[in-house]
Amino acid sequence: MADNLLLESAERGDWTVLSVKGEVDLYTAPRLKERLTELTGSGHTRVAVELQGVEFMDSTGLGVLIGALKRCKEAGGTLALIGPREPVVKVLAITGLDKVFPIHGSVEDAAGS
Amino acid sequence: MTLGGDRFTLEVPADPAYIGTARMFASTLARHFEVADETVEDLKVAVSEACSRALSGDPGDQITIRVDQLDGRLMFEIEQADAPGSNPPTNGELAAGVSLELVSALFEDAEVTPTTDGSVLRFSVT
Repeated sequence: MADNLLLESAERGDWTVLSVKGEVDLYTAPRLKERLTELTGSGHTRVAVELQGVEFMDSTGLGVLIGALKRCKEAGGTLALIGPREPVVKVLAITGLDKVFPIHGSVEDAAGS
Repeated sequence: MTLGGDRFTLEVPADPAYIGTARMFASTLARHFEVADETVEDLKVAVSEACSRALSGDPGDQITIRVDQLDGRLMFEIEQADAPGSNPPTNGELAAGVSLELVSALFEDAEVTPTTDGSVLRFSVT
């Protein structure tokens, strides 16, 4: 069955950028987890997850991001969230994860922080 | 989906593939009743969390979402029947876990109640 999640990764300088578009929930989160695991497991420790195109994310998606952040940190790197929309910002705030993830408006901001 | 007076009901298979359908049903209905945009977004999260919670145990065949319009409020019920032989919750307290904490943070009256063969999550939207 088709799902509503598009994933595209690219290198920008020292950062690996994963662009996420669509909806992240229990159905689509496994694909996001798989892609992030591939990236973080292949030596990419500076990962920026672009969320401008994410229309919806629930706690399943947050759990995937937390796992990826942990792996990056264990490897001495970091995982930043880029440009989350207001509904995603609200879920991050309610769960307190807005204080856990570096959140920036652009990859350039993340790189400069 | 059935339309019957002030009650709207959606039954979907207990499968993650249909959580998006549940969100669409809830948000479309809420917009029909002119619920504010921010609240509609909260509602989508609550429905998604509730369905995910229903699927996290040993779900039966389907998840049922009922919406009653009453006194300017939309009363949501998300019910799932556990598979035969599984252990349903034994109290009315919200279970621990991010899913239900998120729902209760968004809708203060959120409450889980055990049923004879599963549980039902209720909350209201104004």
